[in-house]
Amino acid sequence: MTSPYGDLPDHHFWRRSIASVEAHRLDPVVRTRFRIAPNDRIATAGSCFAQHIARRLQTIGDYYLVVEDGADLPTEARTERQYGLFSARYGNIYTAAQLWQLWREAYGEWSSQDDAWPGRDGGWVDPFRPTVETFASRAEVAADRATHLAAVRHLFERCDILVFTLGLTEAWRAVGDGAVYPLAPGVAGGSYNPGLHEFVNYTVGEVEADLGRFLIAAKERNPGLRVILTVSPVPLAATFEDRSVLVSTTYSKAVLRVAAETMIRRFDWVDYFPSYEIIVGSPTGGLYYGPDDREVNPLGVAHVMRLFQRHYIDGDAEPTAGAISTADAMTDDGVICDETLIERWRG
Amino acid sequence: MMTRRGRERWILLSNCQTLSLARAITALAETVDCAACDAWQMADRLAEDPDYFRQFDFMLVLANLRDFPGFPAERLPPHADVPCFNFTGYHPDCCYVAADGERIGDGPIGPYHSMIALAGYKEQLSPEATARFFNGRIYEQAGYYRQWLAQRDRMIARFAEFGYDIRGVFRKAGRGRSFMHTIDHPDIVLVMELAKVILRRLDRSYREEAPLPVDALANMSWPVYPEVGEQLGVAGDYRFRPTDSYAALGLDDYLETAFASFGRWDRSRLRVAWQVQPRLQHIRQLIREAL
Repeated sequence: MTSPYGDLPDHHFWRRSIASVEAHRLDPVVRTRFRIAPNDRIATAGSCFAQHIARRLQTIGDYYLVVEDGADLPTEARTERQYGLFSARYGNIYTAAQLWQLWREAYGEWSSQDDAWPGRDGGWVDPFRPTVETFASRAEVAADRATHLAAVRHLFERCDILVFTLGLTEAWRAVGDGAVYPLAPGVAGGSYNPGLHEFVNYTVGEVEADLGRFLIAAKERNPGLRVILTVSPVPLAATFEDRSVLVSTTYSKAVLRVAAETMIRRFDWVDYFPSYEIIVGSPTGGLYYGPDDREVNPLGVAHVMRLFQRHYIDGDAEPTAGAISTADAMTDDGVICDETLIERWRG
Repeated sequence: MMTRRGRERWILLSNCQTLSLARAITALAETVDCAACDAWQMADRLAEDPDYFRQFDFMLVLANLRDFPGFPAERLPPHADVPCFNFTGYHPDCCYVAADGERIGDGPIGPYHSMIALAGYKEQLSPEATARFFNGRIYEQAGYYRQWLAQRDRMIARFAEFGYDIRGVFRKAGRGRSFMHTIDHPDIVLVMELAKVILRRLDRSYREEAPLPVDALANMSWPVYPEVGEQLGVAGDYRFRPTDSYAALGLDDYLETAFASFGRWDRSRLRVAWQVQPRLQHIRQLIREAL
């Protein structure tokens, strides 16, 4: 009797590769399509989970490319104005539609009729990155956006590797010109107007189309570009669909995961890194979330980035028992505790 | 010999882990009550009755105790050996320290000491100066991050020598948590898993779940350092909990107290076991290079 599964390696099988491994040693990365070389420049963009990746990248080495770093500002101001949060000051890019829109705007293929929103606490904000900064005037919003778009062009053309974290399928957009916002009007600026704004929950086909267009365009501009796609394990904070936010989360993440899969099948210079599976999968299920079961805790981020570094940078597998130095296994094999303490342990 | 309830009477002769393991076996076993006798009680019990152990149906013996003075090798009931579970994977900095060959048992955390603290003391640093060597770079270079896997494999191999398959206990007992209070004090969750392995190996039926017995070894604990814990999926801290105290010491307080304790001896008289001497020397070298 033969079976097509007969000679497959361990990672094909749950019992051998998942059920027999301790949670902190879970490693679903079988191979990567490329390695990150010492001179590579890595850019990050995407949803809030991408911020964790960006922060950790900065501790690993000099790989992280920041084109808007606010170097002339005091540290506090840099942080407050989101310099360095991502490689450029685009704030969270939650949807593939938003990413594609940013590209087209950066290269003059599209512009919005919406140039500025009133801030919630006065001033003006950029509708496409409303949390980044509150400006004194519409003109300042426009001027900083022009600076930002130039930086974005610079980024896309200079980076060797883009790590993009897909976050959401739900978004709000302008009825008039289809401009896609990261946050609903009224949340961090602007004002919701049912006549001007509409809700959209993208289908897998729409996400694939926007992501595919972006990838093709970016590769044309920057032929050396490689992309690592991830799906954010952070659940939706809210859904506008009339159903449980948990059900909407499942839909959203499933669509994004399928879209990422489609991209790696289409493009051999695009890779998928399973941070979503590491955090959400049943082997670690729940261990890596905070008290609200939504925010990923530092241990989860550490696990993801440990594997990211191991596979993309170090290029190592986890040390096997044979590779571990004998010294690491040596202990003071003192099986007899201090006698003076034993009375306490007798209870 | 069976009790009136029809349960076998076992006795476990072991070390500080005796009470936890005996309780765990009794809690889980369908047909066994397990009494406890630790190594230091053995002499008194044998003095009263040289055949003390033979009143039991079965005996579990900590393998290392066969060399213990007065071990009654010829006066045992049917028995099986069990190895000791010790594991430095969560506490790679924790060690025993001896002065003139005698373990220092009255340090801030009883007999347990920090190897980095000892290295700092031997290098004539102050507690404050030593504190800055508690960092991820030192831990990585000292091999602390490699300890967990090495120690797991060492324990699996050690128990396998006696016919016990403990490969599964690490996954269950260590899910998001440390299963050790110190390097040789496993917590009751781990001990319950070991008890299942022992009962399975000896063909005794047991319950998969049972209320946890009181953890006899929980009266002191060494912290999982945050940088180490990050590697192991465990939330860490620098809270050193002295014996029978719920007010843990922070790193600075621990070091100050540890240095005062070490200060009773000349630096050259303080030693760690030969097995971990190379690690201590390596840490001292790392400290010298950083100064």
